[in-house]
Amino acid sequence: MIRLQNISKRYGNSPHKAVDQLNLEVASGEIFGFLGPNGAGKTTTIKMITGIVKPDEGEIEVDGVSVLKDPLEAKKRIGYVPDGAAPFEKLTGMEYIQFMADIYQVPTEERVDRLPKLLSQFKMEEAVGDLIQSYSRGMKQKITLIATLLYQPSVWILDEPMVGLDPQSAHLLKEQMREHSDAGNTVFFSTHVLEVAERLCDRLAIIHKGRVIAYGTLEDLRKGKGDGVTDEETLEKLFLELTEET
Amino acid sequence: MKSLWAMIRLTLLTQFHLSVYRHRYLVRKEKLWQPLLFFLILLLLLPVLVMMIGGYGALYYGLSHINQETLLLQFFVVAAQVTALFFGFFFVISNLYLSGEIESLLPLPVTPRQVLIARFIGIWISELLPLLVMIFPGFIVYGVLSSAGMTYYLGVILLFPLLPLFPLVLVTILSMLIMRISNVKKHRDLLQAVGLIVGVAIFIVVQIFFRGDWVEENSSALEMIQEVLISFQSKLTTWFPQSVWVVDALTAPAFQEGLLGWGLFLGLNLLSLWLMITVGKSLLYPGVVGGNEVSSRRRVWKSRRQVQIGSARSPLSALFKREWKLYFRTPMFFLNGIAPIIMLIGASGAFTFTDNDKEIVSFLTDTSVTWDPAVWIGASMVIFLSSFTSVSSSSISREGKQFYISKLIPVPVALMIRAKWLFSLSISIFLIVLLGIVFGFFGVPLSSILWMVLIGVCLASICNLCGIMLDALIPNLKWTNPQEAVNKSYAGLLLVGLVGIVAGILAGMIAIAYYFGLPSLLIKLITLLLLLGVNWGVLKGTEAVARKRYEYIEA
Repeated sequence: MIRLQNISKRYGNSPHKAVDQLNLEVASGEIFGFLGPNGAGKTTTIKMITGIVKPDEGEIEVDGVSVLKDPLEAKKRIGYVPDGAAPFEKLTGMEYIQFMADIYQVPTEERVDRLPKLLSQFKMEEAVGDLIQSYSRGMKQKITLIATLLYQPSVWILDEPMVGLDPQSAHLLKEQMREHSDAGNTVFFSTHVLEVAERLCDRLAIIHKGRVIAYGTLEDLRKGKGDGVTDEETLEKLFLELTEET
Repeated sequence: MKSLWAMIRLTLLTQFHLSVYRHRYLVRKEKLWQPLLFFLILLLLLPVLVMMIGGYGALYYGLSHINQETLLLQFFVVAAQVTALFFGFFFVISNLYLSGEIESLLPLPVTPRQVLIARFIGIWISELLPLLVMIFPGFIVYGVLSSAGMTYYLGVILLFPLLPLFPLVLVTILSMLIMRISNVKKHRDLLQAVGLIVGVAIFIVVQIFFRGDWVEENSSALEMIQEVLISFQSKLTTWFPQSVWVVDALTAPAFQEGLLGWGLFLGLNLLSLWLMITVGKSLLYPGVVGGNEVSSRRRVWKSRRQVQIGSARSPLSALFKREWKLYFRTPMFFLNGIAPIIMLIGASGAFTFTDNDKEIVSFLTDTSVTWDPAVWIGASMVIFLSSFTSVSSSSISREGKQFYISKLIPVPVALMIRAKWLFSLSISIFLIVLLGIVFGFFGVPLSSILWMVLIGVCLASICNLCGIMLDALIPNLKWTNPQEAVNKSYAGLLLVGLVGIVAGILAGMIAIAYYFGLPSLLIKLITLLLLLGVNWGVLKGTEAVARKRYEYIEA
């Protein structure tokens, strides 16, 4: 579960807030899509949830634990896959995975049980011994995904996770996201691929200029637009209309 | 021509981060304390500059007694050129081939020649800046003390910027040849290790040629100095003829040797530049592109994987291991950090193996003097070497864009700091042991070496903690080339200044203790206990500072 209450963030002396009084609540067992145009504040919001960036004001909770007051406990519950994942280039894939497993204190039996399966699913068995600096963008993304899935976080946060993945891996990731949420965990992801959001998300929010302008299921969003929007309206058209109006 | 100007402008903007600074300080008006800090650091370094100028003056007066003042100028020219040659190799390779920036220029409608000229100008300016601080004052000192006229100063202004040009051209051509022929960019780490070996080889060759049979046996002191200087000058003239041309250009009458000096020096530099640009046209791009061929060699990792999965470690151990691997697998960290220090200590050790120096060692061992000064000299060397390695003062900066991982993981900041501290301390201990061995060669007794090691470890530990604290306060995470993480850090400069002040205070206290006749063992014991206490306090302080700073540092 993720709860954001009135969080705001301004970078330096910028006249505009990157995130402005944002409120969100994402339940356990749901896949939540976070949409918005470039520079809308998606990544800043995600970085605040994961504890990378400190909000100027507001409160963030992960599974009922405050990210600001008890960051270590909150971070133990989070798995984060950043946009353009760039793990340590001078480690091998296996060393990076092991580093994360050590940090998140994954028991040996669970490592032995899960890792071969994940490596096989993401087709990383042969490359895992190579230095990450030799990986393609997609492979870096995959090794980060594997490292987070190894410790089974109760809140899985992914920033533009489909970018750089081949169609098989993208398909596999979507399955993993569904499996993870079906197991009672929260999956929160940002994307530009509206088709993915449309098909995968239980609920979604659209952020624009640091503020949430639409929030709920796809049906809710359509209703929110009133009579002018039919049931057949695509998320793409809805997205364009919503972000153009504000 | 417009493209060339655009390339030069781009190189200067990116290499010296001019756009970043302009945007940060003038547009967003952020971190305005940084320029102030820079000036503060300059002020801290001012006493060093004054001492250096004093040293140049003393050298001038010393040489003037035997009418060899111009040797000072010759020495400055050679120092500038050797520095450019030695440090230039790593810099040229990293700037032309390893920075990644050059690859983004490949699709642009610019010629390799334009790219090479622009990059070379950037390299040249980068090498010139430290020389301006270290060597340029020497030329001014010479001018003032020799009552030189305006033509001398005009000559210096024109010639000084050209001093590093020829060695840089040489290493640039060498780098392009290596990259073109062997296509070793695929093995960057190997290349950089080879670079280190080349560097060591140059160092040893210089050692051998500038040592050797300078002095006739049974010479009197003055005669010995004169013989040494004549031999030195003869070696400089043979190996660095440019130094003679520059001295002639600056000091000889214009229409005699002066004009010839100017002609030869400028002619050689222009010719070498032309050669570099000509060969660069066909060598540069193939070397850059060559390294991009992706290796398809993938090993199946199953057997080793089974072993690795099975061994769970504590977070501290995992963090320490990460520090270790990232440092030693990034040769730019290693080469700009501890490698020069190891070479320096190694070269001092080699000092004892030449015949002439054995006499000095036997003089030291035969005299029945106390070895206490060796303990303190060794201990002070340890902290200065530890601060110069920049292992601690770049410990957070080295994480660069990956710093987000440190903010993400559920590990207390104090634990991350301890991992960094233990890592930098392990490097310091290695240097201390190396220094202890060199001291052993000089005949220092084991008990004194042990005291030096104990006090040195405590001092190095404090120095490392201070380095980490300074880096937490002013980290440099936005680097594009690993070299910048280690070299372009305010924390590193501040640490050197801080260490100087602390060492001065400590030396004063110890001197007072000796003055009042306290027993030597007691002084060493009290110092050790005091340092242990300071260690604990500085560790707690560093952890507290880092805890606070980690909340705000953003990669």
